[in-house]
Amino acid sequence: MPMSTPLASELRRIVGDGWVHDAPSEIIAYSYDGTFQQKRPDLAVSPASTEQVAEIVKIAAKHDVPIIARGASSGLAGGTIAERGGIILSLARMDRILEIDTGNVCAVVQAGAITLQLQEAVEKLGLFYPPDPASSRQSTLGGNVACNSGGPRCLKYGVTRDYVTGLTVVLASGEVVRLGGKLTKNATGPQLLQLFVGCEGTLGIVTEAILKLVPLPKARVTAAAAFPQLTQASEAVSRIMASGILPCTLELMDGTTINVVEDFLKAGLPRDAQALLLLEQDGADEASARKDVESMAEICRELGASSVQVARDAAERDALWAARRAVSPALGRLRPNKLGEDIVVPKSQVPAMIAEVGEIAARYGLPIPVFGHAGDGNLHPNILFDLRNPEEVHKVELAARDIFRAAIRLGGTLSGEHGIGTLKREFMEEAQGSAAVELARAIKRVFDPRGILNPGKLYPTGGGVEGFLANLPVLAGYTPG
Amino acid sequence: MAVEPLAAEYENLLRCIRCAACLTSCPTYVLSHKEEEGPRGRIAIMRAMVEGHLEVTPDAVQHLDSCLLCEACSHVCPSGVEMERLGVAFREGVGASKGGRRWSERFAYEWLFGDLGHFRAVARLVRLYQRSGLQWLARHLGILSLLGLKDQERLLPRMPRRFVVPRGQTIGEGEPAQVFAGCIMSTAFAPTTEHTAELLAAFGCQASFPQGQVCCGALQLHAGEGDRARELARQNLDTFDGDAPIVVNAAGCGAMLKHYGQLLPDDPRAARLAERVQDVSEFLAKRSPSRPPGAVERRVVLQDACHLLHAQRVDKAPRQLLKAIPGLEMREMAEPGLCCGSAGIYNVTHRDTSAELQRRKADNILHTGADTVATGNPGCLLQIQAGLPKAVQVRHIVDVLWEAYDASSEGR
Repeated sequence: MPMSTPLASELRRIVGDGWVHDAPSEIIAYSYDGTFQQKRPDLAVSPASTEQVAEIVKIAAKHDVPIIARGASSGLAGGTIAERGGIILSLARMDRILEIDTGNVCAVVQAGAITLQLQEAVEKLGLFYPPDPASSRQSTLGGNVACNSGGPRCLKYGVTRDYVTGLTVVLASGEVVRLGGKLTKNATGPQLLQLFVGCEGTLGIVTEAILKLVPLPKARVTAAAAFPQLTQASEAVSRIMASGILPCTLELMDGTTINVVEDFLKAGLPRDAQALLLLEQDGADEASARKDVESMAEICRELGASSVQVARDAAERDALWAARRAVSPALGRLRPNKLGEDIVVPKSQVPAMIAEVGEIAARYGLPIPVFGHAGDGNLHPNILFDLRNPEEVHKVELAARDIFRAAIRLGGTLSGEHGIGTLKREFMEEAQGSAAVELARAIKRVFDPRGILNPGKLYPTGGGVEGFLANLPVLAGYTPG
Repeated sequence: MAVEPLAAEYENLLRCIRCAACLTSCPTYVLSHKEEEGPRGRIAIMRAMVEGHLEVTPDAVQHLDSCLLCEACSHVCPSGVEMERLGVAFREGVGASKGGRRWSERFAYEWLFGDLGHFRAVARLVRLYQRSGLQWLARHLGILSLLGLKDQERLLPRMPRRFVVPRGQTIGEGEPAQVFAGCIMSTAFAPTTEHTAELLAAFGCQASFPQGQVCCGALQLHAGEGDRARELARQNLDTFDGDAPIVVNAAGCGAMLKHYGQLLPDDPRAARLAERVQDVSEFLAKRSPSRPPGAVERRVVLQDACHLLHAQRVDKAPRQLLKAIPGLEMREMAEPGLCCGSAGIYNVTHRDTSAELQRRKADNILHTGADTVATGNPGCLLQIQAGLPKAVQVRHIVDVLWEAYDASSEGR
């Protein structure tokens, strides 16, 4: 055991012996997130209550060290990397669902509560918490709030922001504020509460949340449609959205993704298709959901779908979803690293954006499969590469830059549901304009004058676009003998 | 160098994309909420060691040794990390670097498990201890508490009078099936292993107990004694020749035998043997009994053994078999994939964590209102029995099925 530093000793006095993680292997365990980035913090600490979080923040302020809050650290933007060292504040231990209030149709949770566990708990009572990030099995609700997470169902139901009605936040001073409440309406402005949603721990640390619930749809029907041309699929999406149906899911996989998934899954996906749409509708009864899905299937056929399958039961539905669920693992096995982008464009620009990505992939000779939420214009071009190859890393930087710029040019922006973190910060001025970024910086200065809350994230560092990826921290790799 | 075996698993380590999908499946993470006590943390620690960013520090050893090797994380991993291989490689390397083990460990891995004759001799001593009044004395005089063995002693199975000694004997007529009798299953659970053979006969098979078989080697491998495990595996390869299916009634042994191909990559017989291995539930679910099952009035909850559910990915077969029994009512418990804390000798090496998992499993079982727990692994059986009130019976799934098929009359 190394000698305990004064900082570690002070933290131990707050949380107790077992909850400060400062042994060499423990510091490694708090050095990464869901990307390839890695940087050792000074130490990590696991508080059990809002009061302990407040005490820890005061100590961080006293020692003038960065404090980075995290839940499961499954984020995809580098938001919880201790880039400048400091304290990793793990909220994983604060995982309780404090209350499910059926009368006020809301839930009160601690920041470390797991998204899926809340969903399962409320569904037993006939209620529904719709935001469904792909990481719902592991991600925490605090992390979802900090990143304003989305998911396939958000097309119909809205994103995390739309469900937050109350927050308990520890400020940079260590003061605790409680905002909002179990309220459906709240016009007591300004909406400070909403500033903390999507702030990635840069303005305050969310320790508890009050989340709105809705009635649980009783039926769910799924279909899949394959198209020879991408434009046919996009046209189908536009027609569906204009037809008066609001499906709960409209997922798209492009031709590259279909082939990567088929290599992995061998489920008989159509390799020559240029697009696969996954359509789903839920509702109060099976018949109405099925009617919507049949109408959507008909639109797909009219627009030239080469095959349309409507699931007859839960087993068939699972089989259709299997392809979508296999996307991430399949991509992960193709190359050592991937940069999962998260751009969002106006729905009508989805085909143009996918075409741009195709050109960018060809320009730099990199595989860039695209999949995502076609119904809401949120696309995930995934650039596959090998971090150990500096030339390739440079190409990835250029490709990512071109993707961001294309999205912005088409009226879109950098992130739909992952957040900015370290990966997209240098593009913030291009996306939002320098006046807006300056305003955000001014807000940050008011909330966190010492700059201890997750410093460096979300806002451009001034380092510029050149080398934005190569300069990110990783533990230098190694090539085995 | 201590990390050499781990370095050989480097590609396995690199598969981790750090998505965190494993966290909520991991017993030690679920209990502690500590990243260093979860699969992703352990992988990062091992990778840092291999890459030279981290020494083999005592804290690292502690976090890696606390893994139960239950394989729940490998089961949910979207990118195919094989945790058991990593844990075994780490233990093999560190075990070698420690320069030898305690005499008791050497005694256990070399002498006791190395020869089924030795194992039976010790099992007979245990029986003598249990029946002679010594056990009563030891418990009541507080000797066990003094020795710190109170909990371990409670886990000792009650030894039956007769053991199964594999000498090539057969039961029943029909499709040949070789029974792997194991060490614990042929002694402490000898009646269950006899029932296994009788049940196979009731399903139209000729069950045989090939002579010369030894312990599967799983305990040795998990403790970092790879060479001992390989030695045992070779003896079993010599014993189980031919191409009849090999039926196993202990999930841990089944998983181990199915991995013989990886354990002995240079011996072509190993991979072939692995392909023949089936858990008894897997084997029976694919066959028809010669007569329909009789009624068994029980409310049964199946406890998925980790080495059946996660390591062998068998979950439907045992449920299908139980559901076919008239009068038997199936229940399902919460957190079915969470280890009960038995995990080989984990309940001896990590008493507190094991006890916490045992309590959690017992609570989940009691919540179902079942009067019987059926399981397919001896370790789980003893661990769960010790954690439950007497009113809830814990049975090997074979024994529940044996009741239904009244297989006692077979082949005798």
